[in-house]
Amino acid sequence: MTSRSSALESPSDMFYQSSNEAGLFDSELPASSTLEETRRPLLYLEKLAPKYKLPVGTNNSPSPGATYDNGMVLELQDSAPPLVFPKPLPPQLDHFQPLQSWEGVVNNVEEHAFSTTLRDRLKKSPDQVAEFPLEEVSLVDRELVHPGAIFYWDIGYSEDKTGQRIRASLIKFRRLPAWTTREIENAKRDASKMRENLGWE
Amino acid sequence: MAGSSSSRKPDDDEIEISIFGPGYGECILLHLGFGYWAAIDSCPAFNSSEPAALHYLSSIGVDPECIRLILATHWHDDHIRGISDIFLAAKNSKFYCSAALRSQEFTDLVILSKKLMTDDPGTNEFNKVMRILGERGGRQRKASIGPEFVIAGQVMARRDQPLPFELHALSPSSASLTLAFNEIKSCLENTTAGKTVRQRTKKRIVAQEPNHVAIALWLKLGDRAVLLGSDLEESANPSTGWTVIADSLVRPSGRADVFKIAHHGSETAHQPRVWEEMLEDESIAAVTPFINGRLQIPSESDVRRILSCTRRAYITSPVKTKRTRWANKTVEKTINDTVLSIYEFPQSTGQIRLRRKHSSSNGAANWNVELLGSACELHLAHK
Repeated sequence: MTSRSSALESPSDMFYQSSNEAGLFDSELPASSTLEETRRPLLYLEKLAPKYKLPVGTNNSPSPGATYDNGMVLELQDSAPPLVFPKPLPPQLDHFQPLQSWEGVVNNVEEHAFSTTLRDRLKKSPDQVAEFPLEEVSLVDRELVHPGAIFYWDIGYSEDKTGQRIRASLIKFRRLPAWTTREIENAKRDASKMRENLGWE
Repeated sequence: MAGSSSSRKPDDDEIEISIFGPGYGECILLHLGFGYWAAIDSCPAFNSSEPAALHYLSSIGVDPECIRLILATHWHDDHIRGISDIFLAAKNSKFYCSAALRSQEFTDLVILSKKLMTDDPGTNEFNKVMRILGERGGRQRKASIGPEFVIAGQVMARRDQPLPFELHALSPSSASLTLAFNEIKSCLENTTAGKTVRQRTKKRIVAQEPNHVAIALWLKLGDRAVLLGSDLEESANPSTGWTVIADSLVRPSGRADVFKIAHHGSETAHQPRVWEEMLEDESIAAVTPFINGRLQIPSESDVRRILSCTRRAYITSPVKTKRTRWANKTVEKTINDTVLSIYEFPQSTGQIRLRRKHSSSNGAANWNVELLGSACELHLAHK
């Protein structure tokens, strides 16, 4: 945990921001917050720096006690660059209005595509056989694309808090837990019992 | 299945071979005389979760308890959907399956799949079959209930009088059996193992290719015969597939006048010696298509190849894909923007029905061929 007044260990440590540009520098960081909690790569700070007179990425440290346009007063060590604490993000208020939703099973995976069987989650349309390009799957889900993997495909409108509407196709793979050694052993024991009971041997 | 002639049940001395194929799936019903029925594999009836076999028997007024033999030739989901329902309804039947499914690894897969609680028809159907076997007496049940594990050379059923018949298994060979055990073991490992935790994530069980489990059958009807190819494929190993059958010195002699073509008519299941040595000239060929998106069997070249072997070839459903018309244009546009291809899961149900009197001895010419539902002549498959 790093306190607000701690010296930064590397230049990159200072550039974290909220993706909510409008909320930057609006207020002090709550006392209970930590750098770890607000650590996100800085995207806009350099662009905003002239407005707020921040010496971003330079060695031109402002004077200790300097007051900025937003009323923020920096407490700086002599040689340290300014600390900038972004406002924590409020929860995103995006709303997704589904128009069609399927549960899919991956049948086969090729180099750039995967084939699937889709079942309408509302059972209003016939099952489909579809082939998707792998690039439709988010990078974090890509490793889950295996024969037998289960996913959901939703088509609809995504609406943000400003009312902006975007037509969206969302593919989300189910994150079932991995088999544990104990589960596998239990299943094998049950199978053995079943074989014995039925004479399936 | 409309009309009075199609709903007539076969006479006692009439043999029937009905082949159902909705485009994804296959089922064969045999009437071997005097109310003895056999069901080989299972697929759903049109627009229904009811097995095509039970639906058809009901439509012609036959009690499902007349089914005396049920065979799961292998455990791929296009051949197995609903087979437990048939077993449940057919209280006097004996259940048969490939000896490859006797393996410990297969029962492990069935139980793992049950614990996963996903819709995996291959293993779920076997799980239900095992439950029914338990209800019918478990280990103490009569031997006539099964399961009987089938291997090449086995005579699965026979009757000497009246209307003699013999049902012989032509596969799996002993070499295929070894490969099938390895295949199932590997399937179990793929289901539960992986380098990373994510790769070990629970997922549906997917059978592997090639299929070494499948049971091809030789039905001897007096001095005539029928060859039912299941999904048996040819392979580079001459101890497996169709080559080992063609080479066999102990397989039943004679030539068949009806051939349910193996593996949906694919090139991988074609062995010219089967046509040359095991079938009569101009025998009747029946194909069930396999339509799974862009994978469509038989292809146009498969159709040409089969028609070069016999002109009397039929298919249970045309090899056509259909696209759903989405009422919502946004859905339609987004689908088109996202997928490489999308087709409706095949749903039509076609039936090729062959009937003839047991006493007929005029070869293929004596079979009365009826094409019901979406069934058509093979040359129209891609029209």
